[in-house]
Amino acid sequence: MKLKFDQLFYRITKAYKRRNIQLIISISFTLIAVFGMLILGLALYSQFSAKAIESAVENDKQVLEQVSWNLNTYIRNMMSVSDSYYYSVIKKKDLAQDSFVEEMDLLYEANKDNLISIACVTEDGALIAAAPVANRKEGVDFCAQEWFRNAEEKIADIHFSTPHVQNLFENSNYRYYWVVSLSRSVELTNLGSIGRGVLLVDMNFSAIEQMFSKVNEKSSGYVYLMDRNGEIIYHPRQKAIYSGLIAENNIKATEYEDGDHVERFNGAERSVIVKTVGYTGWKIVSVTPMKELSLSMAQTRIFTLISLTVTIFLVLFGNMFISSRVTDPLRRLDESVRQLEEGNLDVDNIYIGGSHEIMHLSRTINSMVKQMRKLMDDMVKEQRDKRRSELDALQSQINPHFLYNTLDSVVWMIESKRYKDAITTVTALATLFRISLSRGDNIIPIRDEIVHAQNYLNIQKVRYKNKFTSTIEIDPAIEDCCTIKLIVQPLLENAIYYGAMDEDSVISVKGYEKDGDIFIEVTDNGMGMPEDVLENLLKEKSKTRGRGSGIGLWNVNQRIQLYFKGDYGLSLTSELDEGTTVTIHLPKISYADYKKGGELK
Amino acid sequence: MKIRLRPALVLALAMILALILEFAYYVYVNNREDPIRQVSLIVYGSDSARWESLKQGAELAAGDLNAEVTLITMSSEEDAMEQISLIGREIENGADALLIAACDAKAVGEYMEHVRPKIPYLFVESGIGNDECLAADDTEMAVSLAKTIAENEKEWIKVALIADHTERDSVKKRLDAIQNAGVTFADEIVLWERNEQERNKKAQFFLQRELTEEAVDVVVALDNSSMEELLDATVNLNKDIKIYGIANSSKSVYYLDNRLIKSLVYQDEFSIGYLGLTEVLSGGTITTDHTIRYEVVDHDAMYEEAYQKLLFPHVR
Repeated sequence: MKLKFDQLFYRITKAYKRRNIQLIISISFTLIAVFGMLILGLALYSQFSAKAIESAVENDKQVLEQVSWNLNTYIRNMMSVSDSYYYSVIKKKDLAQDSFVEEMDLLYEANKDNLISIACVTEDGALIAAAPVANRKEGVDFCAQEWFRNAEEKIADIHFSTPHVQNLFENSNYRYYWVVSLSRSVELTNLGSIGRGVLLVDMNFSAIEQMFSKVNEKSSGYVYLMDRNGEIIYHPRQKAIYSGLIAENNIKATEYEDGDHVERFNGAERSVIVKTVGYTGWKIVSVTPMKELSLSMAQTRIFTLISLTVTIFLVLFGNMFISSRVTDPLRRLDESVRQLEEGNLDVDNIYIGGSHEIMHLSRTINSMVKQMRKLMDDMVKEQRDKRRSELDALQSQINPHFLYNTLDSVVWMIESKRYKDAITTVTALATLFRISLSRGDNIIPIRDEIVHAQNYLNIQKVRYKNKFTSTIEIDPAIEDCCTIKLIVQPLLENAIYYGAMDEDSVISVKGYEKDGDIFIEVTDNGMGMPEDVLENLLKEKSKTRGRGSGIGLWNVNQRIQLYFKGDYGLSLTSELDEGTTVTIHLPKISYADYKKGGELK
Repeated sequence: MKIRLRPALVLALAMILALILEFAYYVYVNNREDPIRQVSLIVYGSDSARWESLKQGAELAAGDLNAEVTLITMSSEEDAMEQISLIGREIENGADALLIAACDAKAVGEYMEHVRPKIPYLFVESGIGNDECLAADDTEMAVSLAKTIAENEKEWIKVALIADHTERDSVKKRLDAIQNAGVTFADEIVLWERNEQERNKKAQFFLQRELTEEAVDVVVALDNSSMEELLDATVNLNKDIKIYGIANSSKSVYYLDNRLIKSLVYQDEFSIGYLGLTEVLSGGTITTDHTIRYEVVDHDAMYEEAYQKLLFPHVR
């Protein structure tokens, strides 16, 4: 694990070190934008969530208000039934003379959807009137019932009971009614004297239940009703609560003031709104689990998430595009500069583009490169010219000693009346000089070079009194090809000095074409050279100044390489006591073509 | 001037992937409501009103668990083959769970053993002879009834026990328990049991004949069916007898109110329905390890707050 972590750390560090300006711009902009958007998104979302919850609570409150209004209307309606009967009938009638039934029946008929029965009893529990008409249940003591006791206890008030099964009259079809009893103490007139009694309106619990059921069908939470003591009057799970299967926080809710609250019950957070119903002291409680409110936010959450994702990716793309636009010219300029660093001074490679500043920079670098290149070209040309001049100067110089010795030999020939030899020698010397000059051309046909070599050999033979013999075999096909002048003669000079010291010495010159190139071999059968000497011959230090023509093998090699680049030049093979062969390797270029084009490539 | 292709491609793919995931989550959120599960409540007898409390309890739980309850009664009081065919039909029709009040412990038990339904099922009120039935303790109820009779009837009495519907496990348990209660509640106990021939006739007539022919002080009905048959037999019979029993119908409550029934043992079938449905849809191991409340109620106490909440189903 540690190893993997180290590798990951190394990779990140490496990537960081290799970061380029585009990456920095992209990452920086993206991080800032994403961070900003997240902050903004979270702020908006939390604000929206709070507003949504607030709105849901407000909605619940409105529902509660509506239920409260309905319930109030219902209760007031029931109270008005009680009031109407009390003030319009009971107060005006005498028990001994008047009937109480007719008006009661009328009231019942008008409100029978909302109530189960109306009854009026005396203070000793005797039934005065009841609607609908029913038989009083045998053995039932009205005075013992709660609604009666409540009315007797506080005679000035109207009392509301909790839901209970009506136990007053005979039922048919095994049907029992759950009712909420509205009872009040009334003054009964009997033969002019005032006595007490109780007026009972049994409200149909079903009406209350329906009122709340409709609300609970629509709501995400639920609404219940309790009295001031927390006794549940209606609850969508009333029976389950009665059976102890579930619990409600109703006792705690009695402590709540009207308004919204947040409570924790059975491990869940709930939004609770309480509204007290006037006069009865009942409380309508709306309960919505916070989870439900949060669930309703799920779509908003996803919408926010999708918007955030799309925006973040658009920002990323935008950042990539912008950073690319900004940095791509820089990157390409950087690549051009890298190529310059690697030595590629081709000015066409310098990138020019992008913004004004970068283009200006590119042009400046371009201009600098051009100047640099020109300077370098000039320097190279100057150096080459200088070198060529030196080499040309060297090869154009005939060793004065050679000239002196040759002239001395000519004098000696004249004195010994060998005029013909003297003429031959002088003629050869003249030809030698003519070819040496060659009207200033450094490139001559091989034919001329061989003539030059022949003349040189002739002169040397005179000087060395024919101590050696020589042969020249040149393939006629190459005679009209180009060569640098005076490259065979130095080789002959070496061959004479190192290889032609006795009578049997033979120096041969052989020219031929092979693989499209020209080869000219100068071979002697002298003592040969050891390996180390052979190796040094083509090096500058081994120049044979002071002896021969003064133009060493190195000089010849350098000149060939200067004119003909590549693999052209000299190569040497030698064996001790066997002899030495120096081979000139030249490209095959027709002299006529050379003269037409004037360039050697 | 162009965006480098590879990071842009990776980014585009990441965006598409993120959007797909978010869209999938969106679809999941919008469709995460499980399909409504169908629970069949297969009961004995043909009177659906008798099962109102149990059904209400099951329906309340079903509302919480995104399920629907279908009450399936029989055409007769006790026909094991019919109930077996109903169970088979409900399984075949794709019910997600079954709540069964078995009319014949042996026959239904054998059938369930044979079929071994793959859907969860639970016996309620009356099972198949083992303890795997969600109901109040039948033995305790019977013993309580015996004690109540003993307390109420101090004088020399003769008690008739209606030994009908004993194919039902609950009735059999109660009958066994009351006979072996260890409580002396009668000086003489007689069993009123129909023979094969009498079974083809209405139980009401059999009981009327028994009531007329045999002088008993107390008649005990150990189940709702027997109680209702006894009530039907008694109502128009001018006979001074005291009825005790275990029952759950509104008719029984009515006659308790009318003092025809002297004491009634009433079990909380609302809880049986609620807990039974919760168990079969729990997705885990079904347990009957719940204590179901029962009360011995007489006329004087039936309107007390605690009892009226048990005895009178809420208006729907």
